[in-house]
Amino acid sequence: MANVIPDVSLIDNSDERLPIVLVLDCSGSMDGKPINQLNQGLKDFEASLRDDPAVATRGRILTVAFGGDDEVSVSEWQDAMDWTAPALEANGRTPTGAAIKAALELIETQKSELRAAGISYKRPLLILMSDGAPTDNHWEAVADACREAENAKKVSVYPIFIPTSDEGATAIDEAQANLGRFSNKQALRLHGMNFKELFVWLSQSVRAVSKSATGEAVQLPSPAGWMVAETS
Amino acid sequence: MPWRVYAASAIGKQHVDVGLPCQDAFAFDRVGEWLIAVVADGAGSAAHSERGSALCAQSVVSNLAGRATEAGSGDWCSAEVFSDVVQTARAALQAEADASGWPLQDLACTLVGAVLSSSGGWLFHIGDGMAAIRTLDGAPVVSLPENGEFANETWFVTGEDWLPHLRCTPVRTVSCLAMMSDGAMPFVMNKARTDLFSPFFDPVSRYLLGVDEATGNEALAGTLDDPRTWNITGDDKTLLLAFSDSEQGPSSVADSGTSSAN
Repeated sequence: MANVIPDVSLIDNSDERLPIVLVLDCSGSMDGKPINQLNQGLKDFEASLRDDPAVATRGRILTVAFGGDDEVSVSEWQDAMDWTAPALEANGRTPTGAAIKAALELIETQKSELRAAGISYKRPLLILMSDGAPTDNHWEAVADACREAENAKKVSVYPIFIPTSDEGATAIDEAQANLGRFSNKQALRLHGMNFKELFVWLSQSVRAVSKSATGEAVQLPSPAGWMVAETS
Repeated sequence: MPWRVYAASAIGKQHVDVGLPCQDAFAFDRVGEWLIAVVADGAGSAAHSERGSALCAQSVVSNLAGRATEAGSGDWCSAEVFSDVVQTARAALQAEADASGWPLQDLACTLVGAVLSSSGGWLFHIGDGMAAIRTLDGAPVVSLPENGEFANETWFVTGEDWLPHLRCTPVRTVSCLAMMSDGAMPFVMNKARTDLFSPFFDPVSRYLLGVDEATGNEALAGTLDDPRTWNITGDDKTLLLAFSDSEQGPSSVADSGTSSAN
């Protein structure tokens, strides 16, 4: 043991939270291997959050699952140490717009609650995972609102495209481009079904959200471990 | 020597895990009755912020020490001094950036500093980190971190809008000064951030005042690197403690000290 001053108390007197929203596509095209792999990835994420005390006490997690008959299912906000991964099932359509609208509102509500409680927070992360084109009517307006929220530095948005379709390269590129409209950054594309690596990256990101100038883009670790490299 | 100074930086666990250097730096000097001390915290989002924080701390301390030396026992320190001093530090950072072909923002760092004699002085501050002073005759004085809406976003010496974010706090009497980077705040400060956290600070000051500065610095470094701190923060942790002669025990050693990334 290194030279440590005796009898010193080392406890955490700070209150600081990082809100994280996972917006997860549970439409029919995710059925089978994709949803199973996503569920496994969420379980791994749950374990890795609890492994790190600095994250377990600071992360605030919300899941927004969307699919079915244009349904959006929202969890409660939970501390990372209490969060249990949902067991998602896939069927139905892709109401991405409604899901993002709910996520943006819940982020603002969470921020007001934290402010009211005198708890400081980092800029929230919104992670959108989807394999296809939105099917709800107003998704484009919601996508615009989401980009505006990002521009106004209210939230950092990371759309991640899951390539489940065998409809051909053009259709896949188009679906990825549509997903990218929810952010000022492009959507990243998951390589195969590398959810495990994706969630490892996400838990590293939660740890690493590092200090930056006010209003500057948040920097996360490199997603090279799970994304398809840009080809063009 | 009217001030005893103990200081150390410990690299953050997160920085070790991802191969980042320690981006905190501190520097101090003692000129006559004056103590001049700075803690600077390089931005995790900036590519060469460990150079920025070290250079900034050294520039500010040597500048102020020069002024103190020149003034002798005269009254030399006022709030106006600090904008000049930061301007000079920014020029040094700009020169370093130009020489290396980096943008100035790559050297982004915060700054918390103190210029004190036993009868008072100033705290000056841009961005986060914190200074806390225990006075001889009243409530503690603190210089709080300034963040934006979000806790991980702050203002830097290198920012174009640094001047409106330079905050100066006058201090009347000082028994003890603590300055720290934001990584050390959760366990050094109390929950309300109105004073030092006694279960941390009391054993630390008791120990330090019984040993010489070299021994104290080593123990402080070991304490800041205690694995218990890894559960509190992944960030670098710097703490500089200075005790005025009213609290002194055995005599002290060197006049000045610096630390930068390693």
